[in-house]
Amino acid sequence: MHDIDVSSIKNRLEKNRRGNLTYSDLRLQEKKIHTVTFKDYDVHAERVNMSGRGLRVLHGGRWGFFSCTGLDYNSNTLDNEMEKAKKYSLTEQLKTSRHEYVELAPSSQVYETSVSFPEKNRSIERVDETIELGESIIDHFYSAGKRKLDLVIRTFDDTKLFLSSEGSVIKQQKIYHTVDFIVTVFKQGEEVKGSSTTGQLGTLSRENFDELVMKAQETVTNTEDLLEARKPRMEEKTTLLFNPTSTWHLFHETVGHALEADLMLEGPSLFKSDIGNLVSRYPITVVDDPTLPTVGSYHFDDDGFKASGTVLIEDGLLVDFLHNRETAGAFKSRSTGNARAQDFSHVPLVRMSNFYIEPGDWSMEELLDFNGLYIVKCGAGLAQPQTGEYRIPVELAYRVKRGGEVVGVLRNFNLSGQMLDFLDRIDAIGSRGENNAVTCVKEGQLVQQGAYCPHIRINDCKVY
Amino acid sequence: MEKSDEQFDNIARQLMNLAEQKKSHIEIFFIRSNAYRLKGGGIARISVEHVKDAGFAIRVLKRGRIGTASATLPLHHGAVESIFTEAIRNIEIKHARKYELEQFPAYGRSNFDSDSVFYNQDITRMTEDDLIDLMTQMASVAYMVQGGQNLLTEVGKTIEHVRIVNSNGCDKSYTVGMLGGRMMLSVQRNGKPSIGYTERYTRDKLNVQQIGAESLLLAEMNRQKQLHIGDSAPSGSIFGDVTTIWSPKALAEILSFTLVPVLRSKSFLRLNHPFLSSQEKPITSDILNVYDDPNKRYGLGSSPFDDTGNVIEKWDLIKKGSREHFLSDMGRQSLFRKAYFERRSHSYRYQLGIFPTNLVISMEDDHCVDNIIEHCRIGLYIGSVTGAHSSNPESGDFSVELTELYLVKNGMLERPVAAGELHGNLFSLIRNICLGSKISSEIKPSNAPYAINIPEVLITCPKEEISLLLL
Repeated sequence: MHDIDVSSIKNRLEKNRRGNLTYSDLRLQEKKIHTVTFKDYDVHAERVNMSGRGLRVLHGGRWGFFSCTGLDYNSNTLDNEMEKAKKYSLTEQLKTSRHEYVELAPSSQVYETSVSFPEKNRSIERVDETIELGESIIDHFYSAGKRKLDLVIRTFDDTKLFLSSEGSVIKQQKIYHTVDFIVTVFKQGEEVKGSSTTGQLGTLSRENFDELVMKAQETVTNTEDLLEARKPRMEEKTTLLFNPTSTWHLFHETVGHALEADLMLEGPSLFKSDIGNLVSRYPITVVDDPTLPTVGSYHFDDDGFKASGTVLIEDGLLVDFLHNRETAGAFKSRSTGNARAQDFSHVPLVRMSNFYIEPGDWSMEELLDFNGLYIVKCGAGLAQPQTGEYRIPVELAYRVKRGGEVVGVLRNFNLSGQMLDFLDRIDAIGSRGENNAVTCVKEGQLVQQGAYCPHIRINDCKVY
Repeated sequence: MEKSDEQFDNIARQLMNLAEQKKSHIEIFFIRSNAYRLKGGGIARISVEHVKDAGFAIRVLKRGRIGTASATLPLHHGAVESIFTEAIRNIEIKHARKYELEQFPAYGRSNFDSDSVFYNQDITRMTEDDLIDLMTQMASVAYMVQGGQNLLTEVGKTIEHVRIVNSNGCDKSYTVGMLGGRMMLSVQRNGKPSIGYTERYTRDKLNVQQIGAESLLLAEMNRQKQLHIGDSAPSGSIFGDVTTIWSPKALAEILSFTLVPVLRSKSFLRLNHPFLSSQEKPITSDILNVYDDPNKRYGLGSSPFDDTGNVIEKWDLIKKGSREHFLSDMGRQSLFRKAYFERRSHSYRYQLGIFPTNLVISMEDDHCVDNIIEHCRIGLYIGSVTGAHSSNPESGDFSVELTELYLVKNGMLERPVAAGELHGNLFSLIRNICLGSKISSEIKPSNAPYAINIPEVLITCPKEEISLLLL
C-alpha cells in the first residue's frame, strides 16, 4: 500500500465532485490471514493475502459501486472506475424500492490520520509459534477413541485506507485472532460434535495457553453432555436463564438487528417510532461500542466517521438506532459510525460492532435459584424486525431446579416469541459479563463482532 | 501468460529445490481464477466486482508422512521458504498419519486449456456489457407482473485455470469457465410481499429467463401458500404408505449429505453397514443406477484429471440396485472447493478428499415417465428442503424442514402446504423409488464441490419407515 499516490487520488476524488456526482469514497484494503488448521491430527498452514479497492459514488442521488482486486492503482485507474460506477448507477431495470434518492447526513469532521491497534503489535508471521501452541492444546485433550479436538487458529492483519471526496484520508491497521474449537466425542458407536469460538485483539502466544485450555474444556464438557441430552417431549412455557453467549444470540437477533436503521428504511419496523418510549419494564441498558478492545472494534467506520459508543436502550427506554450516513440522512439524525463492509469488495451496511449489555447485580447463586431451563448453546436464529417475532434454535440446555440442581439435559429445541414481550419479562441480570468473539452475516456479508453480555433470566418463554 | 503464472513458475522451481535439499517429494496444486460478478438490488443500484485470485497448495512427502501448506499470490519475499518449512514441520506432528506412499505418482504431462468438452468457450469471450445485458434481462422479469419487485439479481462469470506439478515429472493443466445467476424477487398483493429465489450455475449458456421465471413462480406459490394458512392440513394418517415426489433440488440436497458420504469409501463404514453387503444383493431399488462421470460434456464437476493429476473415467457405483464400486476405488482425490460465488482467495481446503465429480442418478428406461405427477393419486410434492446438513451419514437418518411443499391429488398439484417436517432414512428412500422423470436436472448442492444430475423421483415409503408432520 505504500506505492499508492495518496495525495493525487485524494485530489482527483475532490476534483470529480461536481454536477450530479455529490460524493465518492475509495476504500483500499490489504488483509493478511494466517490460518493453522488442526484436523484429524493433521496440520495445515495457510497464508492468504487479499488486496483490492472498492469505489462508491453517489450520482444523481443513487449509489454506484465498483471493486477490483489488486492495488496497482493511480488517478487514471480511478477515473476509469468512476465512469463505470456512475454509468451503472443509472441502470433503470435494476431499480428497487431501496433506491430512493439518497442524501447523506453531514460528516462531523474531515480526518487525515493513521491508527494501529492494538498498540503493542507483534507480526503475524510467527506461524511456528501458533503451530506449537495448537499442538500443546491438542495434546492436552488427546484421548484416543473417546474424543478428538480440532482447532482452527486464524490471525488477521487488516490494513484499510479510506479516502473521500470530502478530503478524508484515514489509515487503520488492526491485528486480531480467532480460535475455533471443534470437539468430537465418541461413545458406544455414537458420535456427537460441538464447537465454540474465541478471539481477541493482537496475536496469540504461549501466554494464552491457559485461557485457551479453559475454553476448550468448556466445549468438551458441553459436547460430552450432548451425548446424554434429549429433545424435550412437549411444548412448554418456562423461565429461561441464558448464559452470556446465548444472551448475545437472543439479543443480537431480536433487538440488535431491529435497531439497524437500514432495515427500518426497507419497510415497517417494530421500533421505528419508539424513540423515547419504554421498551422494557426491567431497567436494562444496551450499548453498541466500536471502541471496546475486542475483535469487532475500529476507530473509523467505512463512511470515514469517527467511532464512538451508542447507547441504544437505557434503563429500559429506547434511546437511539444504529446509523450510517445514509440512514442518518433519511432519519434526519446523525451517524453513529456503524457503516461496515466485509471487505473492499462489498458496499458498507449498517452493522453492529461490539454489543454490550450492562451487567446487573445478581450473583450466579441467585440466578440459578429458579425452576426452568439454563440455556448454554444456541444456533443462528431468525427474527422479523417488522413484527418482532423470533425463533432461536437451542443446541444445549440444562433443566434446573430451585437451588441450582441440574435434573436433566436437553438439546435440539426452539425458542420463539415476540421481542417486546421478552424484554418485558426480564427477571434478573447477572453481575458479571463475559467477552466473546462472534461473527454475523447480513445480506451475505460476514463481519467480526465483539459481545460483552451477562447472564439474563426471562420468565414465561415458549419452548418447543 | 498471466503474471501469476510466471510467479508460480518461480515458486514451483524454488519449492522443488527445497524438496530436493530436504530429501523429500513435493506436489503443488495451483489455481488461478478471473471472475466478474455483478450484483443489483442491494444498496447500490449495481455493484461490479472484478476478482483476480491465484494461489497454491503443497503436499510434502517424507518417510511416508505428508505435510501441507497453502498460500495466495503474490507472496512476500522469503515466504516460499517459510511455507515449505511449515509444511515439513507438519510432518513432525506427534499423531500425524502415515501413508503407504514413497513418492508422488508420475502422471505425465498434458494441457487441456482449450479443450471444449469441459465448458462452452463462448464464456471466455463474454464482456462486462454482455453480463449486464443478462442481468437486466433477468431483472426485467420482476416487472412482468403487477406488484412485482426485483430484490436481488446477480450474474457472475469465472474462468479458472488449474495446474498440478510434482517432483516426479507431472505437469498438467486445464481451464474451465462457468456462469452463475441468481435472483430474488417479490410479488406483492394487498400489501404483503411473497418472495421467490432461484440460483443456477452452468458451464454452457445461462438461461436468465428461466431463472427469472422460476423465481416468479416460487413467489406466486408462496403467495398462494399464505392464502391457505389456517386451512386444515391433511394429516399423515390419510396417506397410509407415504407417497412423495421429490424435485431434483430437494432430493439432491438430501443425497449430498447421506448417499455421497457412504459412497466414498469402504473404510468409512462400520462393519455391518448395509452398503457393505455383497455386491449381488440389492441395496437400493433395482431400477436405480448411480455413476460418476468426470467427462460429462459441460458438467459442473467435469475435469480431465483430479487434484493430484490422476486421470479417471466414468465409474459405476450402483447398477440396477446393487453396489458396484466405491468412489475411492477410482483413486480420485479432490481438494474441497468453495461455492462459486464466494471469494476465491482461499477457495480450497488443504485436505484431499474423495468426492464425486458429476454424480448421475438415473432410473431404468421402463420406469421413466414424461409427467411424474400424473402417476400420483395422493401424495406430496417436495420442492425444497432445509436442514439436510444435520443428517447422520452413518445411519442415513435425516430430518428436514419441507420449505416448498404441495399437495398432489389425482395426478395434479392441488395446492401449496404451508410447511412440513420429514424424518426419514436414506436407505428406506432409495429402496422405495418407483419412478423417475425422463428429464434430469443438474444441481449443485449447497456447500458441495460436485454436481448431482437427477430427475424428479416418485417414492412410496411404508408409513413405519417415514415420519411426516404437516403444519
